[in-house]
Amino acid sequence: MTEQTLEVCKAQSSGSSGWLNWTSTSSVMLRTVEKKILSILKTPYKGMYADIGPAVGTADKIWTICLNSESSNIPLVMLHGLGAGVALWVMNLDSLAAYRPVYAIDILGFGRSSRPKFTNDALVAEKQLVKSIEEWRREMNISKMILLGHSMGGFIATSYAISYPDRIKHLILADPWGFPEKPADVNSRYNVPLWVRALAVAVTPLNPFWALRAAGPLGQWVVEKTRPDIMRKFSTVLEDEKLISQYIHQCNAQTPSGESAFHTMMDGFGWAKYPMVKRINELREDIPITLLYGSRSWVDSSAGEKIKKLRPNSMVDLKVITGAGHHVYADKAEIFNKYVNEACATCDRVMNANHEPDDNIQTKGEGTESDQENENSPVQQPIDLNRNN
Amino acid sequence: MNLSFAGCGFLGIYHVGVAVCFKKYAPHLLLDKISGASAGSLAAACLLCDLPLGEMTSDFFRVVNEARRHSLGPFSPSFSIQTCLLEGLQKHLPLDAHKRVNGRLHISLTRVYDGKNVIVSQFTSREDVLQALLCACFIPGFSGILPPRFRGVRYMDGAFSDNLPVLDENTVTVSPFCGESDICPRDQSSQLFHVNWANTSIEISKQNINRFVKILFPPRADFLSKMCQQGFDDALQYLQRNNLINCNRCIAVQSTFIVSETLPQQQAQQKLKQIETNGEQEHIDAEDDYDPECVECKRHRRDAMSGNLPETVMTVIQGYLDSANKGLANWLFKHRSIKLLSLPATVPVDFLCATITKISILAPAISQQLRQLMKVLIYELNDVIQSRLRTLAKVRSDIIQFDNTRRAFFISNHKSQSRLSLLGDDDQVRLIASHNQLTDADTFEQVLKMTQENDTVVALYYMDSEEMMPKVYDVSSDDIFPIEATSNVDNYCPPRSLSESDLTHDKSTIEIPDNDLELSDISDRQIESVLSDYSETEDDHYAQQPVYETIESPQTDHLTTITVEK
Repeated sequence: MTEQTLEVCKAQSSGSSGWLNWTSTSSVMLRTVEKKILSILKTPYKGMYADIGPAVGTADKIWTICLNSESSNIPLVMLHGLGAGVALWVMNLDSLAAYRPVYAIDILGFGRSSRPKFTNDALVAEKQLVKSIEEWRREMNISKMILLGHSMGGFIATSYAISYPDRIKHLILADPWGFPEKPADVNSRYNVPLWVRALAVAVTPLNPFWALRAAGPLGQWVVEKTRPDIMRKFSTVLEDEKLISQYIHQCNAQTPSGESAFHTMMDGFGWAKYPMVKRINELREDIPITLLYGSRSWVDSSAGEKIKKLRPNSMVDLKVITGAGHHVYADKAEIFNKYVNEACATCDRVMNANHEPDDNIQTKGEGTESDQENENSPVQQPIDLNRNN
Repeated sequence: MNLSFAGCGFLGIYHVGVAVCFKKYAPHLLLDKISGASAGSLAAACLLCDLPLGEMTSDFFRVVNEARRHSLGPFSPSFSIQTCLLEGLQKHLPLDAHKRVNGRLHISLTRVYDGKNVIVSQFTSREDVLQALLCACFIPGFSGILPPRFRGVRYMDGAFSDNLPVLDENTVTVSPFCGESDICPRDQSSQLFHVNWANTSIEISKQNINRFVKILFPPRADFLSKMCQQGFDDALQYLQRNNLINCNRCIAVQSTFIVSETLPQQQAQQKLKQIETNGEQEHIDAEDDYDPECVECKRHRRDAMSGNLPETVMTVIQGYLDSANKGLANWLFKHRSIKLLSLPATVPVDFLCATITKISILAPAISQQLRQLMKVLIYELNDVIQSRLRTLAKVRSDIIQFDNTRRAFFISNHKSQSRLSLLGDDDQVRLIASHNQLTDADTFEQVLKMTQENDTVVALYYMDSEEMMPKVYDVSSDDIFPIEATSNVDNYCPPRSLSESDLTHDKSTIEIPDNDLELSDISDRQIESVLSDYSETEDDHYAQQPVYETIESPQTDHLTTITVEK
């Protein structure tokens, strides 16, 4: 009960409740929906607010759920994409948490985390997000982690890996956003009519999900009508498909804080202002990367090829999942889980090789970085993974 | 591996490009099921029927040109997309279309009354296929108002429920909108937001918005040709990426891979050879193992790298591109401003043309309706005249004389065919004898009294050359008479000795034996006999209920029915 009142207070402070609440959303509703979705998890999970102090706003909190925190393996940290939240990993958490601790967080400014105001400078906003994750890591007392990011989360994860390479054991990017450069001749093939261009110009200054908030009480309906496919992806595990649309609506109808940060980092219509492909060389060579692309996704997997070329001395594993779209983790959840577990298992293996061949490692893998050069060899799967296949 | 084509209206040219590519480089992928909605279903049907793609392209351009010709494009009243489609399909669909596509062509339709998606894959006749395709392309408001029926149920475009029917996991989706499809244009824009319209994922990008407008408004020829080229390129890229381009031999080996496991070796080889000869004239001795490093395959792939649209399609497109740029009118209307400015002038002309065409099309129907109206009017006139005559006339029941000149209104004989059609049913030659005007003034009162009680009409039914049936109708109530007289064969109860088969004789079989008897003679004689009977029993019947009698006339075996009402 106290938690509930606390959340109501929080909602009021963010100015999106009371009778002026056009979008019909509140933190309580979001919490309820999230709880309902996560109730299908077989592994017990813990939900908590990690207090990261004045990272961006005055007192920021990051909503975290963790599973299997008792395991001594290197933890996996999951960063969601734009407009999503922790609950969308519902098809992956069980499987991934079987071998290691799994932390899924709502990135600052999204989901149930605090929604502070970010700056208007692309690079600074990016740094702010990275910093919030670093603060969170410190708060959670994780020394090394496997960082997994989807879409926008992939962009932030890469940026984090560039800034704090010591904390990253392995970088897994699922259909990451913001890698390719914006081409100069976008409109060369077709002559886009003037009115279309005018429309684009008119929409560009608006936040990505402006329509959802503008729709107000119809927001959930808008989600259902425009993205019935996302709901369908989860229909295999969730009985009530509406939960997903409700969740997405509740996540995005609140004050657009993280969303505006994303908008700041964005150039034009969906391009990154500072594309990762240009900066990938700043990433320390010894950090292995696994790239998972959906074959149908709009995210150009050629960026993956480029990264592979740019990092000849390090391990870059590029995998394209056939039949999956941008939401790889939900489209082909089983294959995705398998690939992620394989990638994570390489870390355990390397760590075990460095230390005693004992699984019970207390020093959460301060494994020497130099040893990871040999990871170019094909991935071998530990025996205990077979459960997944 | 199944293929699925998205519905996309006039952007269907993209599918042509894709189809050309598949036919050229990966024909083995077209052996399975192909599904589609709207324009996609047309593409699917064309592919499955193996129609020449050059002709298809030219037919497509014909429709586009037709639509563009009008002032308001496809929304002009004189343009009907359904008619255009029907013409094209009638012309190109082979006679055994239903056999070729049965079970393989999957058409996505939207049932009108509940909006549910229906996928049709079983076809019993060519008409069935045609009707399903027409339903699949029907957009209410754009194509017409009432959707067509397929097997008695109204269906419309599948784009309203499932625009990209996916049959199973191994379905290659083709969509001309940049989005999450296997084969689709990869726009040079990193899109982040898409919407999902009836199972088709569509990015919100400038190009896609531009394409969206073109679904219903046919684009220019150069846009279409780019679209076609794009389809070809995207499909080729897909094939390259997934290593689906192989030489014929490798395809054959691959396809027998599974077969050879189950069937005896000999049969497998036989099948292999069969495929070889079917595919191309390459002669090879059957090798069982599939060679991933096949030189031939590599050559194929290399060739495909520089592949381009085949000549047949190219020439068609080029032809239309040229014709679109030729001529003063084309040059003039190429500029949008001129087109817009001329709208106030062109739209009324267009409407006028449409109205005239509509009238000229409807003209036969109208004349028929006029004729019907005339018929009714004449009958009405009959009634009026009769009722007036009745008040003036006397009927002598004992001697009824048939006066040929008095039969002008009612009696048609077999020689005057035009009359016949005017008065009689096609199946029956009907003779109606009305009350004869009597000249004898002496008996007027007496007869008038009787007529008021017993009004009868004699009708003769000529059933075939042998039989003829006069019938006497009661006309004491005026309104019954014409209805009774014109009622169909089915509606009246045939007399006892008349069999069913007699009644259903065609008009052609009805012949009245000229040489045997004069028509008037027959009638006279019979009616006399009938009425003499009637007069004999007259007194007795006065007090009785209406009686129906059937009397066999001895000379001619004709039947006479008399209705007497008191």
